[in-house]
Amino acid sequence: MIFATVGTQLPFDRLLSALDGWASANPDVPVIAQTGQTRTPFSHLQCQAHLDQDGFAAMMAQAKVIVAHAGMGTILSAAEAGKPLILMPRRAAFGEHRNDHQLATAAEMAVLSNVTVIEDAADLAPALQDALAGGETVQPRLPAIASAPLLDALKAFIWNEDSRPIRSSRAIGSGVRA
Amino acid sequence: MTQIATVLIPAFNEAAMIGRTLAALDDPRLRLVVIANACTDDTADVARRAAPRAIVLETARPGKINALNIGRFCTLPDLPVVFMDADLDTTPAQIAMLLAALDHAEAACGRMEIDTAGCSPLVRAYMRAWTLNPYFEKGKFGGLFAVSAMAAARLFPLPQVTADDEFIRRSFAAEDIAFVPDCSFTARAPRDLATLIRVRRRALRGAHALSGTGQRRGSGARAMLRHALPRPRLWADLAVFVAVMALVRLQLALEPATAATAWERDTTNRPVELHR
Repeated sequence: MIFATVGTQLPFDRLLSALDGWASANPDVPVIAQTGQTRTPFSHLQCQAHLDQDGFAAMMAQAKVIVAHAGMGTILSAAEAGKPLILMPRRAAFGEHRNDHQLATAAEMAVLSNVTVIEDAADLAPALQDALAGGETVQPRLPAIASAPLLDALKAFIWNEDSRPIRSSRAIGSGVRA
Repeated sequence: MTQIATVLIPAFNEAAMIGRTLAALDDPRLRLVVIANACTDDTADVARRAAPRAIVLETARPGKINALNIGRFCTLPDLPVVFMDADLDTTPAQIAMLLAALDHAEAACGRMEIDTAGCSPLVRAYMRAWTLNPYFEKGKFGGLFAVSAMAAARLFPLPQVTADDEFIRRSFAAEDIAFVPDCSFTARAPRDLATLIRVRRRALRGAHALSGTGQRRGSGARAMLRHALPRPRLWADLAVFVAVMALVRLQLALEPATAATAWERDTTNRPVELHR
Protein backbone atom coordinates (compact mmCIF):
# COMPACT_ATOMS: atom_id res chain seq x y z
CA MET A 1 0.00 0.00 0.00
CA ILE A 2 1.14 3.54 -0.77
CA PHE A 3 0.03 6.44 1.38
CA ALA A 4 0.06 9.93 -0.05
CA THR A 5 -0.50 13.11 1.90
CA VAL A 6 -0.45 16.70 0.78
CA GLY A 7 -1.62 18.10 4.09
CA THR A 8 -5.18 19.17 4.77
CA GLN A 9 -5.21 22.69 3.39
CA LEU A 10 -3.98 23.76 -0.03
CA PRO A 11 -4.60 21.50 -3.02
CA PHE A 12 -1.61 19.87 -4.70
CA ASP A 13 -3.08 18.38 -7.85
CA ARG A 14 0.25 18.21 -9.71
CA LEU A 15 1.46 15.50 -7.33
CA LEU A 16 -1.88 13.72 -6.96
CA SER A 17 -2.48 13.62 -10.73
CA ALA A 18 0.93 12.05 -11.24
CA LEU A 19 0.14 9.50 -8.55
CA ASP A 20 -3.29 8.82 -10.05
CA GLY A 21 -1.60 8.06 -13.36
CA TRP A 22 0.81 5.69 -11.67
CA ALA A 23 -2.04 3.99 -9.78
CA SER A 24 -4.01 3.41 -12.98
CA ALA A 25 -1.00 1.59 -14.42
CA ASN A 26 -0.45 -0.37 -11.19
CA PRO A 27 -3.93 -1.47 -10.09
CA ASP A 28 -2.56 -4.12 -7.73
CA VAL A 29 -1.08 -1.53 -5.38
CA PRO A 30 -3.69 0.31 -3.29
CA VAL A 31 -3.00 4.03 -3.02
CA ILE A 32 -4.63 5.90 -0.14
CA ALA A 33 -4.45 9.68 -0.30
CA GLN A 34 -5.13 12.50 2.10
CA THR A 35 -5.88 15.15 -0.49
CA GLY A 36 -6.80 18.27 1.47
CA GLN A 37 -9.08 20.70 -0.29
CA THR A 38 -9.29 19.74 -3.94
CA ARG A 39 -12.11 19.54 -6.44
CA THR A 40 -10.25 17.27 -8.81
CA PRO A 41 -11.42 13.65 -8.86
CA PHE A 42 -8.64 11.05 -8.82
CA SER A 43 -10.31 7.86 -9.88
CA HIS A 44 -7.46 5.50 -9.04
CA LEU A 45 -6.73 6.79 -5.56
CA GLN A 46 -8.74 6.28 -2.39
CA CYS A 47 -9.12 9.90 -1.44
CA GLN A 48 -9.99 11.50 1.86
CA ALA A 49 -9.93 15.25 2.28
CA HIS A 50 -8.83 14.79 5.88
CA LEU A 51 -7.78 11.83 8.01
CA ASP A 52 -8.06 11.96 11.76
CA GLN A 53 -4.98 11.34 13.89
CA ASP A 54 -5.64 7.61 14.36
CA GLY A 55 -6.32 7.12 10.68
CA PHE A 56 -3.20 9.03 9.67
CA ALA A 57 -1.02 7.02 12.06
CA ALA A 58 -2.49 3.73 10.86
CA MET A 59 -1.89 4.60 7.18
CA MET A 60 1.68 5.73 7.91
CA ALA A 61 2.37 2.49 9.74
CA GLN A 62 1.00 0.24 7.01
CA ALA A 63 2.31 2.06 3.93
CA LYS A 64 5.29 0.62 2.14
CA VAL A 65 6.10 4.03 0.67
CA ILE A 66 4.89 7.52 1.59
CA VAL A 67 4.44 10.14 -1.15
CA ALA A 68 4.04 13.70 0.08
CA HIS A 69 4.54 17.40 -0.29
CA ALA A 70 7.55 18.73 1.58
CA GLY A 71 5.69 19.45 4.83
CA MET A 72 7.65 19.10 8.05
CA GLY A 73 4.85 17.22 9.84
CA THR A 74 4.84 14.50 7.20
CA ILE A 75 8.63 14.32 7.04
CA LEU A 76 8.87 13.81 10.81
CA SER A 77 6.06 11.23 10.84
CA ALA A 78 7.69 9.25 8.03
CA ALA A 79 11.08 9.40 9.74
CA GLU A 80 9.52 8.25 12.98
CA ALA A 81 7.80 5.36 11.20
CA GLY A 82 11.02 4.51 9.36
CA LYS A 83 9.33 4.61 5.94
CA PRO A 84 10.72 5.50 2.51
CA LEU A 85 9.44 8.96 1.64
CA ILE A 86 9.12 10.57 -1.79
CA LEU A 87 8.84 14.34 -1.51
CA MET A 88 7.65 16.75 -4.17
CA PRO A 89 7.96 20.36 -3.01
CA ARG A 90 5.08 22.73 -3.69
CA ARG A 91 5.97 25.62 -5.98
CA ALA A 92 4.70 29.16 -5.66
CA ALA A 93 4.99 29.57 -9.44
CA PHE A 94 2.21 26.98 -9.90
CA GLY A 95 0.04 28.52 -7.19
CA GLU A 96 0.71 25.54 -4.91
CA HIS A 97 1.87 27.59 -1.96
CA ARG A 98 2.44 31.20 -1.01
CA ASN A 99 6.19 30.90 -1.38
CA ASP A 100 8.92 28.40 -2.25
CA HIS A 101 9.93 27.41 1.29
CA GLN A 102 9.15 23.75 0.48
CA LEU A 103 11.98 23.78 -2.07
CA ALA A 104 14.38 24.67 0.73
CA THR A 105 12.86 22.10 3.10
CA ALA A 106 13.09 19.37 0.47
CA ALA A 107 16.69 20.28 -0.37
CA GLU A 108 17.67 19.98 3.29
CA MET A 109 15.73 16.77 3.86
CA ALA A 110 17.21 15.08 0.79
CA VAL A 111 20.20 14.11 2.96
CA LEU A 112 18.01 11.73 5.02
CA SER A 113 18.46 8.13 3.93
CA ASN A 114 14.71 7.50 3.62
CA VAL A 115 13.98 10.58 1.51
CA THR A 116 13.88 10.94 -2.27
CA VAL A 117 13.11 14.40 -3.63
CA ILE A 118 11.45 14.72 -7.03
CA GLU A 119 11.00 17.91 -8.99
CA ASP A 120 8.09 17.05 -11.22
CA ALA A 121 5.51 14.47 -12.23
CA ALA A 122 7.75 12.61 -14.66
CA ASP A 123 10.11 11.65 -11.81
CA LEU A 124 7.42 10.02 -9.69
CA ALA A 125 7.12 6.63 -11.40
CA PRO A 126 10.84 5.81 -11.34
CA ALA A 127 11.11 7.00 -7.73
CA LEU A 128 8.17 4.80 -6.74
CA GLN A 129 9.58 1.76 -8.54
CA ASP A 130 12.89 2.26 -6.74
CA ALA A 131 11.24 2.67 -3.36
CA LEU A 132 8.97 -0.36 -3.83
CA ALA A 133 11.87 -2.46 -5.10
CA GLY A 134 13.72 -1.51 -1.90
CA GLY A 135 11.69 -4.33 -0.38
CA GLU A 136 11.65 -4.83 3.31
CA THR A 137 14.82 -2.88 4.08
CA VAL A 138 14.22 -1.44 7.48
CA GLN A 139 14.79 2.28 7.57
CA PRO A 140 16.37 3.72 10.68
CA ARG A 141 13.51 4.79 12.88
CA LEU A 142 13.63 8.19 14.47
CA PRO A 143 12.86 7.73 18.16
CA ALA A 144 9.68 9.46 19.30
CA ILE A 145 11.47 10.73 22.40
CA ALA A 146 14.51 12.98 22.12
CA SER A 147 17.75 11.74 23.65
CA ALA A 148 19.10 13.40 26.78
CA PRO A 149 22.13 14.96 24.99
CA LEU A 150 19.84 16.47 22.36
CA LEU A 151 17.55 17.89 25.03
CA ASP A 152 20.55 19.32 26.90
CA ALA A 153 21.84 20.92 23.73
CA LEU A 154 18.41 22.42 23.06
CA LYS A 155 18.11 23.69 26.62
CA ALA A 156 21.58 25.23 26.44
CA PHE A 157 20.63 26.90 23.19
CA ILE A 158 17.31 28.23 24.45
CA TRP A 159 18.60 29.50 27.82
CA ASN A 160 21.98 30.71 26.70
CA GLU A 161 22.31 34.47 27.32
CA ASP A 162 23.77 35.09 23.87
CA SER A 163 20.94 33.45 22.01
CA ARG A 164 18.04 34.79 24.08
CA PRO A 165 16.19 37.41 22.05
CA ILE A 166 16.56 40.08 24.73
CA ARG A 167 16.61 43.03 22.42
CA SER A 168 13.34 42.23 20.76
CA SER A 169 11.55 41.79 24.11
CA ARG A 170 12.93 45.14 25.28
CA ALA A 171 11.76 46.71 22.08
CA ILE A 172 8.25 45.38 22.72
CA GLY A 173 8.37 46.63 26.33
CA SER A 174 9.45 50.13 25.33
CA GLY A 175 6.79 50.12 22.64
CA VAL A 176 4.16 49.45 25.30
CA ARG A 177 5.43 52.23 27.52
CA ALA A 178 5.60 54.73 24.71
CA MET B 1 -8.84 -8.48 -12.03
CA THR B 2 -11.72 -6.12 -11.39
CA GLN B 3 -12.40 -5.65 -7.73
CA ILE B 4 -15.99 -5.86 -6.53
CA ALA B 5 -15.98 -4.84 -2.88
CA THR B 6 -13.98 -4.02 0.23
CA VAL B 7 -14.27 -6.32 3.24
CA LEU B 8 -13.61 -4.57 6.55
CA ILE B 9 -12.49 -6.94 9.29
CA PRO B 10 -11.85 -5.38 12.71
CA ALA B 11 -9.74 -7.62 14.91
CA PHE B 12 -8.89 -7.47 18.59
CA ASN B 13 -6.42 -10.16 19.69
CA GLU B 14 -7.61 -12.60 17.05
CA ALA B 15 -4.29 -14.26 16.28
CA ALA B 16 -5.82 -17.65 17.05
CA MET B 17 -8.74 -17.15 14.66
CA ILE B 18 -7.93 -14.70 11.92
CA GLY B 19 -5.57 -16.88 9.89
CA ARG B 20 -8.33 -19.38 9.16
CA THR B 21 -10.86 -16.59 8.49
CA LEU B 22 -8.63 -14.82 5.96
CA ALA B 23 -7.25 -17.90 4.25
CA ALA B 24 -10.81 -18.80 3.27
CA LEU B 25 -11.38 -15.32 1.83
CA ASP B 26 -8.33 -14.95 -0.38
CA ASP B 27 -9.71 -13.73 -3.70
CA PRO B 28 -8.28 -10.91 -5.84
CA ARG B 29 -11.78 -9.52 -6.44
CA LEU B 30 -12.09 -8.64 -2.76
CA ARG B 31 -10.01 -6.02 -1.04
CA LEU B 32 -9.54 -7.27 2.49
CA VAL B 33 -8.84 -4.61 5.08
CA VAL B 34 -7.97 -5.95 8.51
CA ILE B 35 -7.84 -3.41 11.32
CA ALA B 36 -5.94 -4.84 14.25
CA ASN B 37 -6.96 -2.64 17.16
CA ALA B 38 -5.21 -2.50 20.52
CA CYS B 39 -3.88 -6.01 19.97
CA THR B 40 -1.38 -7.46 22.40
CA ASP B 41 -0.89 -10.60 20.33
CA ASP B 42 0.44 -10.98 16.77
CA THR B 43 -2.93 -10.60 15.02
CA ALA B 44 -1.48 -8.29 12.35
CA ASP B 45 1.44 -10.58 11.49
CA VAL B 46 -0.82 -13.64 11.33
CA ALA B 47 -3.17 -11.69 9.05
CA ARG B 48 -0.34 -10.61 6.74
CA ARG B 49 0.92 -14.15 6.42
CA ALA B 50 -2.55 -15.61 5.80
CA ALA B 51 -3.52 -13.01 3.20
CA PRO B 52 -0.50 -11.26 1.67
CA ARG B 53 -2.81 -9.18 -0.53
CA ALA B 54 -4.78 -7.78 2.41
CA ILE B 55 -4.25 -4.31 3.81
CA VAL B 56 -3.49 -4.84 7.46
CA LEU B 57 -3.81 -1.67 9.50
CA GLU B 58 -2.78 -1.39 13.11
CA THR B 59 -4.01 1.09 15.64
CA ALA B 60 -3.29 1.44 19.32
CA ARG B 61 -6.78 2.75 20.04
CA PRO B 62 -9.19 0.03 21.14
CA GLY B 63 -12.71 -0.40 19.83
CA LYS B 64 -14.47 -1.92 16.87
CA ILE B 65 -16.11 1.34 15.83
CA ASN B 66 -12.81 3.14 15.79
CA ALA B 67 -11.30 0.28 13.79
CA LEU B 68 -14.08 0.44 11.21
CA ASN B 69 -13.71 4.20 10.95
CA ILE B 70 -10.01 3.79 10.19
CA GLY B 71 -10.59 0.94 7.79
CA ARG B 72 -12.99 2.98 5.70
CA PHE B 73 -10.07 5.15 4.56
CA CYS B 74 -8.96 2.11 2.56
CA THR B 75 -12.30 1.18 1.02
CA LEU B 76 -12.47 1.04 -2.77
CA PRO B 77 -14.42 4.07 -4.01
CA ASP B 78 -17.92 3.56 -5.42
CA LEU B 79 -18.01 -0.11 -4.42
CA PRO B 80 -19.96 -1.90 -1.69
CA VAL B 81 -18.49 -2.43 1.76
CA VAL B 82 -18.73 -5.76 3.56
CA PHE B 83 -18.53 -5.80 7.36
CA MET B 84 -17.21 -9.00 8.79
CA ASP B 85 -16.18 -10.30 12.20
CA ALA B 86 -12.72 -11.80 12.42
CA ASP B 87 -13.94 -15.12 13.81
CA LEU B 88 -16.39 -16.24 11.12
CA ASP B 89 -16.11 -18.88 8.46
CA THR B 90 -17.29 -17.89 5.00
CA THR B 91 -16.06 -17.81 1.39
CA PRO B 92 -15.77 -15.31 -1.48
CA ALA B 93 -18.65 -17.10 -3.23
CA GLN B 94 -20.93 -16.47 -0.24
CA ILE B 95 -19.89 -12.83 -0.15
CA ALA B 96 -20.50 -12.49 -3.89
CA MET B 97 -24.10 -13.60 -3.25
CA LEU B 98 -24.53 -10.82 -0.69
CA LEU B 99 -23.11 -8.29 -3.14
CA ALA B 100 -25.44 -9.41 -5.92
CA ALA B 101 -28.39 -8.64 -3.65
CA LEU B 102 -27.24 -5.01 -3.39
CA ASP B 103 -28.52 -4.42 -6.94
CA HIS B 104 -31.96 -3.96 -5.41
CA ALA B 105 -31.23 -3.19 -1.75
CA GLU B 106 -29.09 -0.88 0.36
CA ALA B 107 -27.90 -3.63 2.66
CA ALA B 108 -27.75 -7.41 2.54
CA CYS B 109 -27.30 -10.08 5.14
CA GLY B 110 -27.02 -13.85 5.07
CA ARG B 111 -27.90 -16.79 7.22
CA MET B 112 -25.78 -17.35 10.29
CA GLU B 113 -25.07 -20.89 11.29
CA ILE B 114 -23.68 -21.63 14.68
CA ASP B 115 -20.93 -24.11 15.20
CA THR B 116 -21.47 -25.63 18.63
CA ALA B 117 -18.81 -28.31 18.28
CA GLY B 118 -16.97 -28.60 21.57
CA CYS B 119 -19.58 -26.56 23.46
CA SER B 120 -21.21 -27.55 26.73
CA PRO B 121 -24.76 -29.05 26.56
CA LEU B 122 -26.25 -25.90 28.11
CA VAL B 123 -24.65 -23.72 25.46
CA ARG B 124 -26.03 -26.03 22.77
CA ALA B 125 -29.51 -25.84 24.30
CA TYR B 126 -29.32 -22.06 24.42
CA MET B 127 -28.19 -21.90 20.81
CA ARG B 128 -30.99 -24.24 19.66
CA ALA B 129 -33.54 -21.96 21.31
CA TRP B 130 -31.84 -18.78 20.16
CA THR B 131 -31.89 -19.79 16.52
CA LEU B 132 -35.72 -20.09 16.79
CA ASN B 133 -35.79 -16.32 16.94
CA PRO B 134 -37.54 -15.09 13.75
CA TYR B 135 -34.61 -12.71 13.58
CA PHE B 136 -32.62 -15.70 12.27
CA GLU B 137 -35.20 -16.71 9.68
CA LYS B 138 -35.16 -13.19 8.30
CA GLY B 139 -31.40 -13.27 8.26
CA LYS B 140 -28.97 -12.43 10.97
CA PHE B 141 -27.84 -8.86 10.57
CA GLY B 142 -24.57 -9.09 12.39
CA GLY B 143 -21.27 -10.86 11.95
CA LEU B 144 -21.37 -10.54 8.17
CA PHE B 145 -23.32 -8.10 6.05
CA ALA B 146 -22.83 -5.85 3.04
CA VAL B 147 -23.93 -2.30 2.35
CA SER B 148 -23.99 -0.41 -0.94
CA ALA B 149 -21.36 2.22 -1.72
CA MET B 150 -23.95 4.93 -1.25
CA ALA B 151 -25.09 3.54 2.09
CA ALA B 152 -21.47 3.25 3.24
CA ALA B 153 -20.88 6.91 2.38
CA ARG B 154 -23.89 7.78 4.54
CA LEU B 155 -22.94 5.50 7.47
CA PHE B 156 -19.35 6.63 7.95
CA PRO B 157 -17.97 7.83 10.22
CA LEU B 158 -19.80 5.54 12.65
CA PRO B 159 -20.71 6.99 16.05
CA GLN B 160 -19.24 5.49 19.22
CA VAL B 161 -21.83 2.86 20.10
CA THR B 162 -21.30 -0.62 21.54
CA ALA B 163 -23.85 -2.39 19.34
CA ASP B 164 -22.24 -1.57 16.01
CA ASP B 165 -24.07 -4.20 13.95
CA GLU B 166 -27.37 -3.29 15.52
CA PHE B 167 -26.76 0.41 14.91
CA ILE B 168 -26.14 -0.24 11.23
CA ARG B 169 -29.17 -2.52 10.94
CA ARG B 170 -31.40 0.13 12.44
CA SER B 171 -30.01 2.74 10.04
CA PHE B 172 -31.95 1.02 7.27
CA ALA B 173 -35.67 0.61 6.78
CA ALA B 174 -36.54 -3.10 6.91
CA GLU B 175 -37.48 -3.10 3.22
CA ASP B 176 -34.04 -1.81 2.25
CA ILE B 177 -32.30 -4.85 3.76
CA ALA B 178 -32.12 -7.92 1.54
CA PHE B 179 -31.96 -11.32 3.17
CA VAL B 180 -29.95 -13.76 1.09
CA PRO B 181 -30.77 -17.23 2.45
CA ASP B 182 -28.20 -18.88 0.16
CA CYS B 183 -25.40 -16.90 1.74
CA SER B 184 -24.38 -18.67 4.89
CA PHE B 185 -21.60 -18.07 7.32
CA THR B 186 -20.61 -19.86 10.47
CA ALA B 187 -20.04 -18.34 13.87
CA ARG B 188 -18.25 -20.32 16.55
CA ALA B 189 -20.34 -20.44 19.73
CA PRO B 190 -18.77 -19.80 23.14
CA ARG B 191 -17.71 -23.08 24.71
CA ASP B 192 -19.18 -22.60 28.18
CA LEU B 193 -22.20 -20.95 29.73
CA ALA B 194 -20.28 -18.35 31.74
CA THR B 195 -18.68 -17.01 28.56
CA LEU B 196 -22.01 -17.07 26.78
CA ILE B 197 -23.55 -14.99 29.56
CA ARG B 198 -20.73 -12.48 29.36
CA VAL B 199 -21.10 -12.09 25.61
CA ARG B 200 -24.91 -11.77 25.81
CA ARG B 201 -24.55 -9.16 28.53
CA ARG B 202 -22.41 -7.05 26.25
CA ALA B 203 -24.81 -7.43 23.33
CA LEU B 204 -27.82 -6.46 25.41
CA ARG B 205 -26.04 -3.55 27.06
CA GLY B 206 -25.15 -2.27 23.60
CA ALA B 207 -28.71 -2.64 22.38
CA HIS B 208 -30.00 -0.76 25.44
CA ALA B 209 -27.55 2.04 24.82
CA LEU B 210 -28.87 2.31 21.28
CA SER B 211 -32.46 2.85 22.41
CA GLY B 212 -31.32 6.29 23.53
CA THR B 213 -29.87 7.29 20.16
CA GLY B 214 -33.15 7.80 18.30
CA GLN B 215 -32.61 4.62 16.32
CA ARG B 216 -35.44 2.29 15.38
CA ARG B 217 -36.05 -0.44 17.97
CA GLY B 218 -35.76 -4.08 16.99
CA SER B 219 -38.67 -6.50 17.50
CA GLY B 220 -38.75 -8.53 20.72
CA ALA B 221 -38.48 -12.23 21.46
CA ARG B 222 -42.26 -12.72 21.72
CA ALA B 223 -42.51 -14.33 18.29
CA MET B 224 -39.84 -16.77 19.36
CA LEU B 225 -41.87 -17.83 22.42
CA ARG B 226 -44.96 -18.24 20.24
CA HIS B 227 -43.00 -20.61 18.05
CA ALA B 228 -41.60 -22.71 20.88
CA LEU B 229 -44.59 -22.98 23.23
CA PRO B 230 -46.59 -25.47 21.10
CA ARG B 231 -43.49 -27.68 20.68
CA PRO B 232 -42.70 -29.49 23.95
CA ARG B 233 -39.38 -30.90 22.72
CA LEU B 234 -38.10 -27.32 22.62
CA TRP B 235 -39.14 -26.49 26.17
CA ALA B 236 -35.91 -27.52 27.85
CA ASP B 237 -33.90 -25.47 25.37
CA LEU B 238 -36.24 -22.59 25.86
CA ALA B 239 -35.91 -22.84 29.65
CA VAL B 240 -32.13 -22.53 29.34
CA PHE B 241 -32.54 -19.60 26.99
CA VAL B 242 -35.02 -17.80 29.25
CA ALA B 243 -32.90 -18.46 32.33
CA VAL B 244 -29.80 -17.04 30.66
CA MET B 245 -31.64 -13.97 29.41
CA ALA B 246 -33.28 -13.41 32.82
CA LEU B 247 -29.89 -13.64 34.51
CA VAL B 248 -28.33 -11.27 32.01
CA ARG B 249 -31.13 -8.75 32.44
CA LEU B 250 -30.92 -9.01 36.21
CA GLN B 251 -27.17 -8.42 36.11
CA LEU B 252 -27.62 -5.42 33.87
CA ALA B 253 -30.36 -4.01 36.08
CA LEU B 254 -28.10 -4.29 39.13
CA GLU B 255 -25.15 -2.80 37.33
CA PRO B 256 -24.17 0.76 38.26
CA ALA B 257 -24.64 3.12 35.31
CA THR B 258 -20.90 3.62 34.92
CA ALA B 259 -19.91 -0.05 35.23
CA ALA B 260 -18.26 -2.40 32.81
CA THR B 261 -17.35 -0.48 29.75
CA ALA B 262 -14.85 -3.28 29.12
CA TRP B 263 -15.48 -5.36 26.02
CA GLU B 264 -16.93 -8.65 27.24
CA ARG B 265 -16.08 -11.25 24.71
CA ASP B 266 -15.70 -14.90 24.06
CA THR B 267 -12.17 -16.00 24.91
CA THR B 268 -13.03 -19.71 25.08
CA ASN B 269 -12.77 -20.00 21.31
CA ARG B 270 -9.53 -18.14 21.09
CA PRO B 271 -6.34 -19.02 22.96
CA VAL B 272 -6.03 -22.77 22.54
CA GLU B 273 -3.87 -23.05 25.66
CA LEU B 274 -6.88 -22.39 27.88
CA HIS B 275 -8.38 -25.74 26.93
CA ARG B 276 -5.34 -27.85 27.55
